[in-house]
Amino acid sequence: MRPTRRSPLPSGRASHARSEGTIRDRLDRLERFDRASVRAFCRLFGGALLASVATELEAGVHRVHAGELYPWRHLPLLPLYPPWALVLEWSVTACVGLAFVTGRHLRIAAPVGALVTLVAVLERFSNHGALAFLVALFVALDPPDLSADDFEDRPHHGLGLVRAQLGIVYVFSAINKIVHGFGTGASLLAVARASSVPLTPGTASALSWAVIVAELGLPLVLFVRPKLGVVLVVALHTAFCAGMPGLVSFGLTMAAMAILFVRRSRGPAAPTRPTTARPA
Amino acid sequence: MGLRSFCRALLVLNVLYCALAAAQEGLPGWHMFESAEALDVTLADRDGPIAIANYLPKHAWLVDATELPAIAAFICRKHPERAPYTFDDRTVRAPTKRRPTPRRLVADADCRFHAAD
Repeated sequence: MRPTRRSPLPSGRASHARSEGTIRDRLDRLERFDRASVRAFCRLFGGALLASVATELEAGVHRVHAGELYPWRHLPLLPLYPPWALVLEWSVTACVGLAFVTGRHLRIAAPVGALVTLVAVLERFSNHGALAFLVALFVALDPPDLSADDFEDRPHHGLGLVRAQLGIVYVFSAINKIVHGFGTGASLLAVARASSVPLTPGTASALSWAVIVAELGLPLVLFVRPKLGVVLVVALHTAFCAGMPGLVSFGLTMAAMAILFVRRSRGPAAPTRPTTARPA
Repeated sequence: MGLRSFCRALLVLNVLYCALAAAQEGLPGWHMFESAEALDVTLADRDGPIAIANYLPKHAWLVDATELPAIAAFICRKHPERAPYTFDDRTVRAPTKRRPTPRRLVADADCRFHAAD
């Protein structure tokens, strides 16, 4: 009687469970970060919060809350609060910024930062304010403990959201630009005129398409060549800030998110190789 | 639901919202100067044109007309003694833009701007 042969193919259920485990493992590996990169992220994001306060102070936002200037981009969900409340908001934001810069008390700083940036966005909506809120919120979901021994070995889901947010900002910004015909150069010409920057229509159109291509390409570059990607992100936002100085906070936040793609030996795209023991 | 699943659900919701904001005009999304306009507007009181930028915080980029009527009403309410106020919008817009141009508005006693006769 012949022995029954077991089929070499795994059963359907076992195969499905194995592939689910593999996908989950891969996603978890994407959410592993270098301690040094996360430290740099914290410092840059903290710097962005401090820059935001300094920029608003310089721009005279307190005069808006004193009734002297028009409440620019105020969302009608909360009343415009008095200047003393704005000073309180700035103070809390600055303290959160310092906490991130020093990498201390993130378990408290991140949720407080999420709350104060949310209130700030409701008082005066801005892209950099909304981005600061989202980053603080994601960090608050899973605050990194930089002193933990196994920091680099376990997934950090909050930081994974932060890193994904960079891709979301760039891709949807590019999509919105394409949908609204940004490539014609008309919008960039209008912005240049408002900034008193001389620009010809041909140059404006070329630069407009360059921005769209950069926004679509940067997430890919960061994934495959993270250090080059960080340099390009910094260059792009430095160019934006040169024309529009109020964008320093936004640029710092994007640079902070970009640095999360950097890993000492490899970027997030490189697969980890399992160690196998060689037979004696 | 564990933290991992919650964060992944949040990511999906985030992307879906951004897609909705890209398709639906007026929803806050990652809109960054993609439809800036070269505004050609004049707000004037009884003494002549007013510098609108003087009533805005620095770095407030006035590149579309969305908030202009509210800004004009703010200035009118702030300085009612300088009435009458008129608002001329000569911005050339693409035919797809909702707001027709040119137009001239005049403020009433309550600083509400109406089309001039």
